[in-house]
Amino acid sequence: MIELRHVFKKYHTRAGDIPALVDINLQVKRGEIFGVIGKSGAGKSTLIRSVNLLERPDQGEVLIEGKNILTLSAKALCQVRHNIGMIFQHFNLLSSCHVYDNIALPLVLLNYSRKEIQKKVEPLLELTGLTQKKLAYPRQLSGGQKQRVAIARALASHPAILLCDEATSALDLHTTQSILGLLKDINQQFNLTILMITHEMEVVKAVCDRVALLSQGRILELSTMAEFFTRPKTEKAKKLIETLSHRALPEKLLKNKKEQFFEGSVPIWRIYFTGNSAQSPIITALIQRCALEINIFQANVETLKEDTLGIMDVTVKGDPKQLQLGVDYLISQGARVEVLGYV
Amino acid sequence: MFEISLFIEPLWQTIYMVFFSSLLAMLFGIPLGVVLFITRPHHILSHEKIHRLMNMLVSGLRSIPFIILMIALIPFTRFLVGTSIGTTAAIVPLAVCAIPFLGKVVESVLSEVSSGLIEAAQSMGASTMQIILKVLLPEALPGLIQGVTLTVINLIAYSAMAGTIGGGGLGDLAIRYGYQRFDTQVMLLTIVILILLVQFTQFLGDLFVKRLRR
Repeated sequence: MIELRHVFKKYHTRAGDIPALVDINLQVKRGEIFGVIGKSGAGKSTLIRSVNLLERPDQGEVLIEGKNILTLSAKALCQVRHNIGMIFQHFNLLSSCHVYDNIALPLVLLNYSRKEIQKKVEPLLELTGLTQKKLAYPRQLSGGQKQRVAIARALASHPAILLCDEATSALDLHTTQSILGLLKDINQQFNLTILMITHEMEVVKAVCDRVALLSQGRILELSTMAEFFTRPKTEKAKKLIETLSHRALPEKLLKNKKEQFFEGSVPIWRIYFTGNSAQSPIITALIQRCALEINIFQANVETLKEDTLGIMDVTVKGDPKQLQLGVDYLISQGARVEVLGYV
Repeated sequence: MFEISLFIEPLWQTIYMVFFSSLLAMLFGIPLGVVLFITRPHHILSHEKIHRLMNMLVSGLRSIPFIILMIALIPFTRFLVGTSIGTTAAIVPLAVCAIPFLGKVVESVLSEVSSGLIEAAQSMGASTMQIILKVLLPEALPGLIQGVTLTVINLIAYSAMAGTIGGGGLGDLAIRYGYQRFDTQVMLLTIVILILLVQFTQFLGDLFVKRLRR
């Protein structure tokens, strides 16, 4: 549906060239919600803006439904863009137009008749719950309502793709949830392909099927959600995911933690449970079967779009043999253990 | 004492000159402002050479004092109107003076439109013309009206100098009676009429803006 091939982009500044995208390769499948996460300045915005060529890559190919859009004429590019909706962090609504006219804008650009426009806008008002606000001006709306207008507007020309550029970053937690719910709905209802960029791990967790981690213009990690959180492929990716998910160890523990085993120390384990293991009483079994003494100091169950992910940080007391037994048992249950250090 | 009819013709001449020069200013000044804006670096129709050339022309014209511009333009006026003297002839220098002024105002008003909005329009597949007509100008409308109001008021002031080339008008009346004949009464009344004219223009402009602000 969307494919980026060897995409490079540099920004020219007085201080020299800054690489914004370095050899980006990714594929978003039809009907999928694909997330790109990274800190600010990682190149996320440049990446998403490359997909509809608001930003032109220096090198590489951008394929939409198999067609490289970099070689298109200005007119043909406009045609392609009618098939790609986009929503923004700051909504970008016309302040001079009321809700209805804002949603109608893409259709006006396509020279639809007034009647056709009405036929398309009314259901969108309903879908986004804005029927009551039809004649309100953006100034009179809350952030969440504005984003709903923007979503309705992006859907007006019935695009196959929706790009979300930090769409929830200006919204509070509650509103974020409702906007994400709406995105999930339209993804299913219209089999819409969604590419979103965000710096919020919560957003990715809530709606994405697959995710790419972007850092300094490079993709560090690209995988399904469950894999992304349980077994990142590189150390760097793991660190970044931890920072972005606020999953660092408590301060006190971090200070006393050593990388290597030392006399009288106990290991710190981070146990990841996915799927079934997240629901079975593993810790009880660990204590009873392996005779380990377990001290839980932080635990969390996260609900991904299709999966449940449990993460538990524990210190474990026991002789090496028992410890090995415990690890084997966890693995046999489909969980994964990572030794974070020793205290 | 004087006859009130003394004021009728000059008032009419002022309105005539200001109306048509304002019309020309809008006709050419607004497109000029749009071009100045969209040819800016990194803009929707970025073109450095055109932008610089336009800018030079605009600032050049704006640096010439109106009274000098009026005289310098005599051959041009004669070419356009057939004569360089009279009320109609005065419209030419007035418009030439107002066009770059309004152009500059329009450019700055347009730059107030959020770049995100332009981007949103681009992402919807809007052509450059559509962005200008459906997004830029509607969004900037209140500011544009303020700019036009400002231009009209400026033109009322400049039209006072039109007497130099036989254009007549209220300003001319004030100079002839007030300065050359020491008729203070006529001058004062002219001033009052001019003030009312300017206030009325401002009032109209503000009314439109108030209606449009959202």
